[in-house]
Amino acid sequence: MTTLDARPMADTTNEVLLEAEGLKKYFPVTKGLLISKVTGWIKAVDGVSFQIRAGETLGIVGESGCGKSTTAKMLLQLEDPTEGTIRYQGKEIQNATADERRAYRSSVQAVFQDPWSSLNPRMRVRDLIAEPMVINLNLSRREMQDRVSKLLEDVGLSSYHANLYPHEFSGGQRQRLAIARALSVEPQVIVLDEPVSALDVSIRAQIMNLLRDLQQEYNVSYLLIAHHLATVRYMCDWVAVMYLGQIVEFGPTRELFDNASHPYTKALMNAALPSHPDIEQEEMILTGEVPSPLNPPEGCRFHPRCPFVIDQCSTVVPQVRELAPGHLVSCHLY
Amino acid sequence: MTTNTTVNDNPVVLQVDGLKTYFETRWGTVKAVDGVSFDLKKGETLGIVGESGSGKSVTMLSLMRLIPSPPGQIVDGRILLEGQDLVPLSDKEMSEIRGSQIALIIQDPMTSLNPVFSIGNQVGEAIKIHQDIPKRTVVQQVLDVLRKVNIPAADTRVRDYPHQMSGGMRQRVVGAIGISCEPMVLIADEPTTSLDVTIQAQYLKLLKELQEASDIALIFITHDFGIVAKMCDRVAVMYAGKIVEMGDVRDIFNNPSHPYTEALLSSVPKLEEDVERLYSIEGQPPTLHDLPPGCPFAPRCQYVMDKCSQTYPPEFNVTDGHYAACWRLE
Repeated sequence: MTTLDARPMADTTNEVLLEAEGLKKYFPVTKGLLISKVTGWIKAVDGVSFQIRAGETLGIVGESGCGKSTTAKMLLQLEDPTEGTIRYQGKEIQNATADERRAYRSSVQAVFQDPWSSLNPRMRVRDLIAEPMVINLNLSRREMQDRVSKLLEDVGLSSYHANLYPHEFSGGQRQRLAIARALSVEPQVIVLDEPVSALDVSIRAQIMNLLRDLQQEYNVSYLLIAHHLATVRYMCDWVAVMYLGQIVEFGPTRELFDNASHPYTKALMNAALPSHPDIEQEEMILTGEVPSPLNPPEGCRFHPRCPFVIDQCSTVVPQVRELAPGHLVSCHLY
Repeated sequence: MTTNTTVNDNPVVLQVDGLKTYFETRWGTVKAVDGVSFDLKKGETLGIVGESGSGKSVTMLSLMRLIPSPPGQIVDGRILLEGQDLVPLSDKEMSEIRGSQIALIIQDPMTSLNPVFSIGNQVGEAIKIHQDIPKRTVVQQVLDVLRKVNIPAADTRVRDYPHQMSGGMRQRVVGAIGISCEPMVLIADEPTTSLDVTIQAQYLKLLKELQEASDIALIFITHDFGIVAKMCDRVAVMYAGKIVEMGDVRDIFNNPSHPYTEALLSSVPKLEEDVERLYSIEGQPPTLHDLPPGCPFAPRCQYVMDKCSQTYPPEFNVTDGHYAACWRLE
């Protein structure tokens, strides 16, 4: 096994909802205007495997360019994988019928980072929230209205908000609308792409708590894409750390945060800001920047920036080791 | 933070006294900054923390005398830079001070650099304006300052344009412009929000080294208590145009005395430990043209009393150098 398979331990009882295996996405780099020639491939995601179980939250952390958003787009069927499979409830979705794919789309919903651009400014809240239901469910007008009111109340707004337009809301309230819309078709999985990073500090806690409460109420699973480690610690059951298109470390949240093992994870933790001035942080500041995914380094992709680099790192792709139950790391040091 | 005791004895370089910056809008007067006072010593780092609309950025623009007028105006107060009041200065006089004695690092390196001029040109501009020196020396100084901010291969990269550099490198260039004339006061307005975590760590370390090398007084405008914990000696917490609490960084973290500071600190998830449930401040920050009388935080405060909605609380001392504007401390 060369790529890390971010598979939660077998002893968790929750059923596997969504499964990705060996997902790859390569974008062509072309030259020439009319007769274009492919000169290379950007390996945005290069062999990523993970599982999302019912009612749990999987977090994917990494810096810009690590492929976390491309992974999310493939799950949402906004990009087709170059290679690899996505299975939903045991069924491969690439080979599914059109009806099955439509059902899949409504069971996997998304909440995006920026609530200013993700809500259509010309639609009233009522229509915004009802839109996915109009497309996917066969409901009467009356039922639809009741559902919209219920959803608005569930996300902490009230039913009179249904007549307003998005510009009449603050950032936090807009994110609540986006969440209500995602929930409207009773999805099994919601992809949260940086759901709080565009919000004010005092509003972030409101939205994070709301998301956790709704997870209990609706028994929905989350895939959380984030770069802020403390947010991930608060929200997730499982965490996968990505670097240059691959998962380098995976584990249950507390285990991973307390015993971060991959040098890149360690560096991320040390670079994250402390929550108190008296917390002493190990000085471990990475030099350089993330290399281009057009031409990723040989061997371990992290080796040019790794402070603990040894000879074989630059030639051999590291094996995956299990350090503790469920805690997997892909590094030569272990 | 080890420099804490020595910083205390340093002379004050910047003193802000009762600063008020108002904007005239069609909804009425917006009191964006409403009576802000603080001082800053040589080599010290002050953090100004607040949410959007708290007035932290307008404070920064007022210090730089960059308030667009109309609609904005500094209506009252003094900004003393080494004893010289900046408020009554003419635009011409101010432009000699701006960039040379008090400089700014802006948030977004994508928009704060001009895409059609080379890096060398833009760093050199500030030097040319403020120092009367021959062209060859300017080039030399540009290279020196680029090396100071750790730009690799500075002698070839001076000819690069902003789009040829990564976000982290661009932010270094903005930093280089900031320190090019060796200012006494450097204001950094959310300098790392658009950077990745590991690049942010590099940049914060660099700022600290630059500060220690020439004893610059640094003001960090931020919404992130993590940056405050890592970088600052003292903190001012702003809410609705006023400083509601100010003190030594440890006093603020260990003994937050204004309910807003307390709520903010307990609403941030922690990296080092599990948090059962985050405290969440209900409601939204107020709109500034329609402030309620009394304490503007009262509608969101968990300890609210009758008095709070009637009169704005004065500043009560908690310990020496640590004060908060809250009636609970009376």
